[in-house]
Amino acid sequence: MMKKFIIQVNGPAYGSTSSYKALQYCQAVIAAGHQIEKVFFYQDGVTNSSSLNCPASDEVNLYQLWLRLANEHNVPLINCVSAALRRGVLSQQDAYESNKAHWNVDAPFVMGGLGELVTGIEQADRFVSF
Amino acid sequence: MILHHVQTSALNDNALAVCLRFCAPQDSIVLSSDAVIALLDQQWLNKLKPFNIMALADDVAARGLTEKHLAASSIAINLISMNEFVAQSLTHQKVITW
Repeated sequence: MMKKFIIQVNGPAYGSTSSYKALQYCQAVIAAGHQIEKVFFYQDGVTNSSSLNCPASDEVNLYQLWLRLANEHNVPLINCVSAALRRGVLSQQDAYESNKAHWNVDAPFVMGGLGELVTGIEQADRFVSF
Repeated sequence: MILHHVQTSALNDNALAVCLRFCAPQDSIVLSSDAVIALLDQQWLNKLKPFNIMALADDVAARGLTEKHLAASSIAINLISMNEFVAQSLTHQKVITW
């Protein structure tokens, strides 16, 4: 039977393997025929959503892999907005409100709050944090 | 029945120690990333012994631990894949990451 998972990503895009672990877990969930309800990026996890990350071309590009996961399997990617803002991770709207000339978060990543995490946990069968 | 997920080395923080304080006899522990280092330490092995212990096979291999190292430990360690981790997440009632 199909089960729903919500995944929380707390680790940075670069410097630890936990974000890559989270991505691999999501891929395994989908491969097993289950569904990812949403991926919630919290704490340093929000750095996964920066479109300005430029890893070397022969290295894993986590940002691209999250994008592919979202686009191919319709997985919502939600950033905790307050975790993001204090790390310089801004959407166009955030940049406008904070009077900044640049931003680094675009669709399919969207800004949300902890409420999104709470409703996601309610709707999902399993909550797994990395 | 809870699946306890530990990702960090017991040498760096107290995640594994706290996890063990709350681990019930029927629970399982999955060690991933640097947490697998605990499998080299006899004192940690003694504490892990009463529980069903799993470790991600890729993480064990990535740290140069071989089947021989694990066989030398006195406890049974199930090396699992990411697919099996997902399956275990469903056979247990919940997953707690420490």
